[in-house]
Amino acid sequence: MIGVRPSPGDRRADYASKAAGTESRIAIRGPYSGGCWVRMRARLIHSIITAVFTILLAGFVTSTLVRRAPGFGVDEREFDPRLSEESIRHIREESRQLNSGTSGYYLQCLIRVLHGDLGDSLSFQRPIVELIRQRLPETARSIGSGLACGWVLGLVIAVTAASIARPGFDLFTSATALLFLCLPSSVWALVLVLTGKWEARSAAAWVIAIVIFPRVLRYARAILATTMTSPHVLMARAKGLGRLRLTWAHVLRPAAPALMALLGASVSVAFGASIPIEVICDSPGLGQLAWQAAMKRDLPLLIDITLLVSLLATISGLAADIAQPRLAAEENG
Amino acid sequence: MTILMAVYLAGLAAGRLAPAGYARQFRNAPAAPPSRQFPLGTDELGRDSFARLLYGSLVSLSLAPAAAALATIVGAAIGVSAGYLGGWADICLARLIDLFLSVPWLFLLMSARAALPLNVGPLESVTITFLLLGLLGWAAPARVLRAATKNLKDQDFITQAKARGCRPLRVLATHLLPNIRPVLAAQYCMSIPIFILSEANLGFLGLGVAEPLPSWGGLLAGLQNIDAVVNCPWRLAPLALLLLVMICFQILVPVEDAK
Repeated sequence: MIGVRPSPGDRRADYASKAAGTESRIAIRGPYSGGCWVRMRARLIHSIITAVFTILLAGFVTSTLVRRAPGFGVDEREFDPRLSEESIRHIREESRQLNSGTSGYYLQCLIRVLHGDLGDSLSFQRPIVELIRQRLPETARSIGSGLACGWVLGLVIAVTAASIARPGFDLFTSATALLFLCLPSSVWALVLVLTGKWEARSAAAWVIAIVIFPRVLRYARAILATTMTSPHVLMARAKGLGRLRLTWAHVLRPAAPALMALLGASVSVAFGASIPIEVICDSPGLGQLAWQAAMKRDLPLLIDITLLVSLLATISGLAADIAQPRLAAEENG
Repeated sequence: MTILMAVYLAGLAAGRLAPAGYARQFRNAPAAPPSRQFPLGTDELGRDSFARLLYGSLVSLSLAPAAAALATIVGAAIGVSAGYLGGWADICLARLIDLFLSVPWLFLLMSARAALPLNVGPLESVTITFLLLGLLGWAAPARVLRAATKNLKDQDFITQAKARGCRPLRVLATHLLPNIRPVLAAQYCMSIPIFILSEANLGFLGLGVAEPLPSWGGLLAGLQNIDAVVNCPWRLAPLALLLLVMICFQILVPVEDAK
């Protein structure tokens, strides 16, 4: 390898750096080298069990929250002045039997959910499934486009900053990320509403992109900076590999598992940000529905939305978890 | 740090700098422009915007660190216990941490806030908001502290201390906690800006600190009156101050994940 001339177009240099890169990547990613498929399967099963357990536990905690919240089980008919004491007592007895202890209430909820019935919304007087089915596509669209835009923007800037490695550009990108991280998502939504006549859906997507992009930029920049100083990258660079090929094959691909983990986390951030964004941009999605439920204290609806969002965030995290070892395995050959 | 201290001290001296107070209404001067009497004008109800900004800064800058301290203490108790005890305790506590981390932060806050009575007085609303931030924001510090404790637990000096007959509580107090103090401090400092932003978001949504008590969230909610903001740009002062304070925090402690 010492005798290979470090010219940019030399295929032997490319192969040598590839081999060196693979060696160092195997060394870096020890847990997946050799028998990685067995470990991957074990990790996958462990992740799925953990996710299912977490969701069941989340269901129990949230149903306890609903069951123990002040005002739970109070029937509006109790305040009807026309009803006699005996009738009111009868109504109370009825609702007491209907809403048994916390564990009984959780079991009732669980059985209903397994049958695809989430109950009725107290404030909208409509089935919760119907409300969610109506609003979910809107949120999915804005979060999907926002994530895509935020990721593309963040990743492009991070890759550019990592590959050109100019202190001035680095400072500029860091300052930009810092500025965007300093204000809450609600303010960014307001800024967008103030500055242009956007359609509600596109405004929500753009604000989600604004929320996601600085996080992606900051993390990706840190991950890529670490990868850039890896021995295999230094060797490939010393052998004169082109900047584009070096970035794609030796920097981005080894960094892919870490970036996948970030993708899983960014879905949760996007869901969280969707509440103020959809409220301010007047986008009829799940975030706006959750806010309306909170303001009207419609706890069953709010809890169902929270559980659904947690489920989606957990699934995205799980998918990122599954993709990580697969990417690593591909890298290791 | 100097800027942060200056903003906090200005909040502490609000009574002297703006003697009108945050709730007094000057009914003859609603939506007044800046003047000697009202440096940042008044709002639609004739309340001194400068006084509201100072008191709001005091509320946010006093209670966010308090909530961060609570979250860090709870996180440390759970994370260090999980990491030190290991076994089933670790598995159960790790699942609890996973559970809190699996729910998007603002959904968790909003659900818990909505479960409590919404029509409460200003002081109760401040207490509820910042207690919720403190009691629900422990999961991220707990995860980091669990990992730090697990790393430390297998170090030679801990093994040696155990071999010399040190009791678990003594190992924790004299050997483990002093060594995870930098991690604790970092987690505490990272939580403060996160809680300030969370309060701002909650206030914007009408679920934060109740009127007439000001907070940055409540003051930012006033920006939703777009015409008023366009005609009176000095109403952007709370936004500028929040930006300044957050930039200072970001420079002091980079926020890894602003939830």
